[in-house]
Amino acid sequence: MTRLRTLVEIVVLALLLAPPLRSQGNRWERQVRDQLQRAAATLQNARSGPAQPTRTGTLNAEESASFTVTLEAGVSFDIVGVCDNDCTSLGLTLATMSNNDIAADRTGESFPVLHLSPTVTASYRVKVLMKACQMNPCWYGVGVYRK
Amino acid sequence: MARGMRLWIAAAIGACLVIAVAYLPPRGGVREPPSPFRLMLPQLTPARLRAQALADAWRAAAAEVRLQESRARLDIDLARLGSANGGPALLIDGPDSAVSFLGPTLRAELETTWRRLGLGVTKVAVVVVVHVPGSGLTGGAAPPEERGGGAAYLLPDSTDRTTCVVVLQAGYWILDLLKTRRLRWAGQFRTNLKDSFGPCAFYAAYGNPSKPVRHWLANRNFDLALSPVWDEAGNVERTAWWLVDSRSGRWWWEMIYRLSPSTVGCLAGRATECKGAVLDGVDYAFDDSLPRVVVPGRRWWLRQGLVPGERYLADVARDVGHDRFLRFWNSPFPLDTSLAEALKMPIGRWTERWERRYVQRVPLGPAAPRSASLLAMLLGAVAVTTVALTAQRRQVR
Repeated sequence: MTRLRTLVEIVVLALLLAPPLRSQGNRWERQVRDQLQRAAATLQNARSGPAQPTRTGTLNAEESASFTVTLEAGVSFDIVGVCDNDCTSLGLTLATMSNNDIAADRTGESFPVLHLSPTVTASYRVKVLMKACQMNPCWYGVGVYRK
Repeated sequence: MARGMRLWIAAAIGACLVIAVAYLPPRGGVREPPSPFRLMLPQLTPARLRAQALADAWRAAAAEVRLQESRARLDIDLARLGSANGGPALLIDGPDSAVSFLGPTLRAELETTWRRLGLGVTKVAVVVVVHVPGSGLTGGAAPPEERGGGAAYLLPDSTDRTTCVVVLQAGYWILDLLKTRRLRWAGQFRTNLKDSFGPCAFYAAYGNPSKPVRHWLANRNFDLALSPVWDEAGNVERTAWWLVDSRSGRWWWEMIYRLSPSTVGCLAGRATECKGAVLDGVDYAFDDSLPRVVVPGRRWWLRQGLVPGERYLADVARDVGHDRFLRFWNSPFPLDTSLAEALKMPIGRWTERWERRYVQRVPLGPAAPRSASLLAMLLGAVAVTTVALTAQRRQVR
């Protein structure tokens, strides 16, 4: 009985560990995930987690991608963009669903950050622009953190 | 009639006879020696050209269908499969016996070829799908003309930026391996496999190209990036055999004049024509819709923009080095600017020099044969000597 319990525990442990191991992906994806973790450690309060699941993907130079996030009114957020080591410039823009820009970081660096406190709880569009990538495609990641 | 006059008339008639003997063909005309190409390539009539264009379009559509079917039916995460071990992923679509035998050998050969190209873990993963005859996975056998082992390519696009698929019909080399159960002529087999990587090897080595490069290559069906041979110098015998008879040194004019005017001009050593041949396909108003599937046409080498165009970009990469080629490949600037910048010299001049490595200068324009020139000079010399002798003897009374 004890052996059976041990076996079940091993299987459960393996099932719990397997998805993160599989999702590590290639080295460029790992670079992005590592950077997001470092950004989270730097920016966020230790007690609170990411407000939204982080987004990762690939883009060629001069291409962009958008996704939607829901932000609560009166809460301060940090939206951080990171990209792999081949990427030299990444742009990040937050806009309303009607495409009015609210905040943008177009400094041309590979680590754009947006700070904002929405006045209305609503869905917003986050747009990532891969401005420069030395070897296409470049992996990017975006994290939304509650302050 | 004076004696001197008779002599002149006889000399003139003699000269005419010499010229006639030298130039007039014997009765029935002169037949050119039989050419093997004439037998293989029938005369291009408008109807035949139309039929060939239709056949090419049909083949491209059929290949695209097979590529998409392969991807959908095999239903695997191609990107992860490719990045798992750093080399190309291999999928064999065929009977189980063929898969079990070919798998290990082909996988090992692909890995070897991959390493020789200097590739390791790449951003764009390459998946090689080999179709062995007798398989039902792709919904039908390949047409006869594709059984020669031709490859088709599914390039990365915005729906999947990290996977390049090579669909390879099992041609002579693979079928021979399957039949004899051993790898005869390993060198040729690897060369063939390397060529099969085609544009996918460039995508693996240098990532997805910038928009100007992508449009340029797509507009010309990637004819300059079909052979990723940046690891070895070119071989004259392998590239120009269909342009010149190696035994007699005689040009196959019939083949030369099937090429475009700029290609022929480049073969003749004209740098401006070389530049034109390279920049063919450059457009400055980029259309977003680019074909994702590349299928080199049947006898593509007869219609290439440069000879040997299939290795042009590989030779550029080999000459300028990895970093400069990478900058060119990813450059957002117009193609003529970025390529000249990578080459560090005008495109036409570099290409003309490159062309000379493989094909000697083709003599173009009107030119008298050597024998005719010699005869003309001889007759001229005789005439001048005769006049000089006559003038010497002339006496004024």
